[in-house]
Amino acid sequence: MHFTMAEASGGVTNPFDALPDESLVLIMEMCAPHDLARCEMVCRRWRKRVSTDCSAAWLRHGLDVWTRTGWVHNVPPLPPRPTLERIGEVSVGAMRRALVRFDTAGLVERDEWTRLLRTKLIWGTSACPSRSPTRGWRPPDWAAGMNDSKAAFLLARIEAGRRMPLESELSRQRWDLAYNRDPSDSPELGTFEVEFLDGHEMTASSHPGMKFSWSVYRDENSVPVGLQVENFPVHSFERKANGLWIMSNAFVTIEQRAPPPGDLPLDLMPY
Amino acid sequence: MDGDDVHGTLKLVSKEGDTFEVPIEIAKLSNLVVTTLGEEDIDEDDDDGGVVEIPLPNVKATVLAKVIEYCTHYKMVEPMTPITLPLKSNRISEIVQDWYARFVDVDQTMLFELVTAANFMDIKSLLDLTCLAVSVLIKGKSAEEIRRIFNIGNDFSPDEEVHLRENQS
Repeated sequence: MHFTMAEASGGVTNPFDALPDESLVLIMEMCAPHDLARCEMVCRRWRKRVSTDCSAAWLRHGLDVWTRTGWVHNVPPLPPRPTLERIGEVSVGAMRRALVRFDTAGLVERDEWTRLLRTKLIWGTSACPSRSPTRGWRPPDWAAGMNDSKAAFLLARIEAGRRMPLESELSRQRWDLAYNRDPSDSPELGTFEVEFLDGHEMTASSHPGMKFSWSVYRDENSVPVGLQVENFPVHSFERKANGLWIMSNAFVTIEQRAPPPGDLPLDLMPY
Repeated sequence: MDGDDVHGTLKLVSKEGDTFEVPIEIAKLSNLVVTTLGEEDIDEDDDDGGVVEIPLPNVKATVLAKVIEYCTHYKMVEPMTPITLPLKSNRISEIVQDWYARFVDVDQTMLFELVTAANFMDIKSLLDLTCLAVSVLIKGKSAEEIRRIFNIGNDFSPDEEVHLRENQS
């Protein structure tokens, strides 16, 4: 269809000129991520709105797409699910020394456990945009009340390509893990790094002695479905050279993967 | 006063001066109307037989008629299912009821006029619906196609454009 607004309205120019930025942003927030990427190329005004107002949309879409496309297109079949005890055990051992940094970009094709997290770590409530109360992304009920000093991650169960119910039937088990790093452990505060399960980098932050704990939420079958991290600092967004996003803070980095070419099938639309 | 409003009417005046008499209860879907009514004095009744006139200098008569059709259906037949993000589907008819999906099945000129009118009259649900319809128009289009369809000028410098393309690839 080569119908243009100019033809339709007798030379009237760009119809978006008449729209305030809020309406333009609202339209963009309703676009899928790959469409949003094209919107950014249209003109300066659109680019500015995408880059300054749509980060929440990018995050919401991007992480979801990342997870789902990661699952559908890039992730080999999962190995047998590790036991909860193993997760707890590993966590305790690791947390004693340093803070965990989940680097999703670095977890591809690593060991079983890291692969599990890579495919299941979806988002944190610390990324919840508060500036848009009516349209902002909403954390599930069990994560309500968290703020920048806490975060929750949903570990999605995706079986046979389907998302499983996430918010109901959650029971909660909690490990309080005190992080009491002796500054003398590390010759140089802030650059202390150790390996963690061959897949997770561990980076000591400049928070020696802080209490750091997490809780794992399980569903009715005792499968871990959520991870809450406390003392979670302010997140940041960073744009990668290819236009995708990285959400990160001292502990967690979530990197958006490029969506597959073409339109997403309906069942991959953001939920 | 409020009790009288329920059964009263008011007049919405289009850009061209055409007058539409609308039940107040229906017109109140517009926050602009609500605000304007709130500012009216009670003793205005004697001016014009008790009918308040609200000028809408940004809204053409054809568009205003559509807006009133929307408000009437919303109030008298069935409210629209609220549009929440993230969207549950990429088809309008799977997000809102059929009537509302058909309502925005209009040409682009009318659609943009409706967005503008919904924004001006501050009708949130209509704004959501029309913005959704515009986002569907954008879906799957390249930047170049979007510019052509909507007659948007490319104001990037050649260098910027090269840079943008590199970043996107």
